[in-house]
Amino acid sequence: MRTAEYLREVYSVAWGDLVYIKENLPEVMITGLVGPLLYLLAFGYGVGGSMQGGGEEYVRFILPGIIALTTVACTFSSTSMRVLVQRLFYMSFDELLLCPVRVSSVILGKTLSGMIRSLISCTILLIVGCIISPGIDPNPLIFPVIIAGGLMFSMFGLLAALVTSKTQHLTLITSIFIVPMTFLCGTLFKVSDLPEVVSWAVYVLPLTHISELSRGIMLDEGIPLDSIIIVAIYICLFFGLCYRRIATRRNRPGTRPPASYRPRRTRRGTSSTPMPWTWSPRSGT
Amino acid sequence: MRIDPLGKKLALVIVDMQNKFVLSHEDMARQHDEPVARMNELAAMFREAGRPVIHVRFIGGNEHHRYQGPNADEFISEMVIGEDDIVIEKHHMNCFRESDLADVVKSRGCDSILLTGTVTQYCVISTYFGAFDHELTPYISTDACISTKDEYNQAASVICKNLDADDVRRYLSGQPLEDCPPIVYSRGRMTDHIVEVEDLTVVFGDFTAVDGVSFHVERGEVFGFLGPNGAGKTTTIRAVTTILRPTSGRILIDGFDTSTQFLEARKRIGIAQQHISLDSDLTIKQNLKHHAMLHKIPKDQIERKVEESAALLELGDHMNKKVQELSGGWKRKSAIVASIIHDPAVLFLDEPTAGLDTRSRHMLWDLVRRLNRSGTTIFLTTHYIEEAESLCDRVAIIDSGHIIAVGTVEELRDMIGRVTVEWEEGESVRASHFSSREEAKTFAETLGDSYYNIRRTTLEDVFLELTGKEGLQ
Repeated sequence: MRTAEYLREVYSVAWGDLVYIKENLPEVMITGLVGPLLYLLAFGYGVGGSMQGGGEEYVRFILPGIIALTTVACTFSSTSMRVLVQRLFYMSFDELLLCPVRVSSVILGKTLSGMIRSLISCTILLIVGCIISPGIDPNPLIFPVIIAGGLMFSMFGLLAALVTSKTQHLTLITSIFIVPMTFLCGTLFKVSDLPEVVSWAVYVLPLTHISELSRGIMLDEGIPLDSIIIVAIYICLFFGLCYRRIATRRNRPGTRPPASYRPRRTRRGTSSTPMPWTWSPRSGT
Repeated sequence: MRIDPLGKKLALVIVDMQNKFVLSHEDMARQHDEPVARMNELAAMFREAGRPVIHVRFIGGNEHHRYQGPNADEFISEMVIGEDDIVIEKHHMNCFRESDLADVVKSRGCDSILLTGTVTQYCVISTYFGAFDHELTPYISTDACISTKDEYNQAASVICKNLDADDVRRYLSGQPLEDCPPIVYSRGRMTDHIVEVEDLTVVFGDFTAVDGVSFHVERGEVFGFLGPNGAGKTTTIRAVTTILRPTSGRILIDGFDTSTQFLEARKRIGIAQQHISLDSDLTIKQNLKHHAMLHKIPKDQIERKVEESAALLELGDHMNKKVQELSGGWKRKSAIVASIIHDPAVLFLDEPTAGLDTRSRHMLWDLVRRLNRSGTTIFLTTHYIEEAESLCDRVAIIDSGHIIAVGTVEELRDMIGRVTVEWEEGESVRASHFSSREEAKTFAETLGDSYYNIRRTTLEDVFLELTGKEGLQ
């Protein structure tokens, strides 16, 4: 019952964004899919075609990487930009914080739409991949990875929107974190092929582990447990940081008030209107 | 739109203790012909108006409390249990969990109950307190109640407001129950102050935006917060509405401390901020629906609430327009309507007409008056003096983070003098204030050939006198 109520709360937060996706589906899909599809064609057939063994083998190799890439492409910028606009221009984000909903519902609700975007885009990409390269194994275990990736990068987007106050700052975060991850995190090549120092640096980036997990599942190379743990750590970290950021924007119990703020006790049981008798609850009929 | 009197959505609750109202059992019913007839009349009126009628039926219990009339098992097995009824199978003290009743009442979209049925000290009074614990306002119809002791009935009518059949008839036809305001009780506090602010201070770095402000807002009034730009109006409203955490001080909303009973306080607040805080990518209707969902209005009530809000907005087909396609006035009006979709006890409007043209401003004033008439307390900040003068029952004037005067417009006029003499001195116009016309005339005669004008003091004079001329800027 409590879970159902909680899920309803998350859904009610996400509802506005879901309606937006529904009404702008072609636009949303094109924005999220063009990049990954171009990567697939350009790298899979362009670069891969000139490789020994032909393009088909390389498509099989890079498709999991591009699926991982799509979880970023569809979630980070759309979630961060939409929340930033809602926060700075529409001011509807502050309005949301005024509603009687939990902070965790706000976080999950705001990341849900990004997750759904990534799920739809990755599914389309998977279908395209299967059509152009029939040797690909569409293992259903890939979907939890897509969901985890979508959730993680949506939360990262939400966090970016909460800590920045200008669209330029968002572009900066994209340039510093997202663009390097796009190319380095094992999406187009194996991380182990990199020099050791660089591969360690890449190892701590979250996209690497979504790539590793996708590749492990789709190429039957086994599921890397360390990647699962690292993805879980990142999700918890982003959730915690978002929670802290939102909770301090709200005047809610649980956030520590300043030392000088010592609320006095609410008077209880006092009444300015005399009662006709004295009575205590549950003292009998 | 028909706004319910006092903003209350009333459900009829018949406490059917010991099955006194199981009318198939004539012996029991006959003992109490009159109240039972009145109770049935109320139930029929409620049903006809499509309002919920909830029976709380006790069918078990110990020997003392269980019904022991003839064919007890038979009539209990034949009892018609309605969908909304609460059946208590095992009980010892004729008690039941008020939360069960509150859940049913709330699921039907109601926020207050009209009690009839069996009155005992426990039953009615615990329901009364229980109702408030579950944020429901209780009323009682003593004419339709059966009491084992007369004093229970009397006591109940002292602490619950009594509504007779005529009151209910008027209520159901949509007329306000002006003579029957509810006795207000909230978690141990009996107060007519819906907002109480004590010694509020907000400090940003080394700048004190609000410095030791104390005031209260009375239930049902339009309270104006007037001050020049940068006086601390918005900071105060943001602290009171829990958006901003105060540096020190205490804020109570309907008796709930915003620092310790945050969610309870927030449920009672509606706020339309200075900026239009609607999602511009959605239509007005979608925004209203989203607000209703976020305020946890039951699913089956949402459509009705949106329709009621649409009627209040008078936007017609434009309801399906995106927010960004509307003019500033309509956007502002939509934001206000969205902020009251959960029927808040107090609505905060932060400079609702700033930057609007005269027509849009009057449209919003009209909306504010209508909302106030329907029972919503309004807290309004403005720097338009005519707005405060035209709308507000009481006004507080704030300047440089301090409240410098609070009172009705008349009281504020009395502070500086009801009569004003304006006269020319060189190139500037000066003003002096006097408590009577005679005093003003005596003063005017000393002005010699200067051009002067004797007139009634306005709120603007009070404002300028108290905040200094620079307040004009």
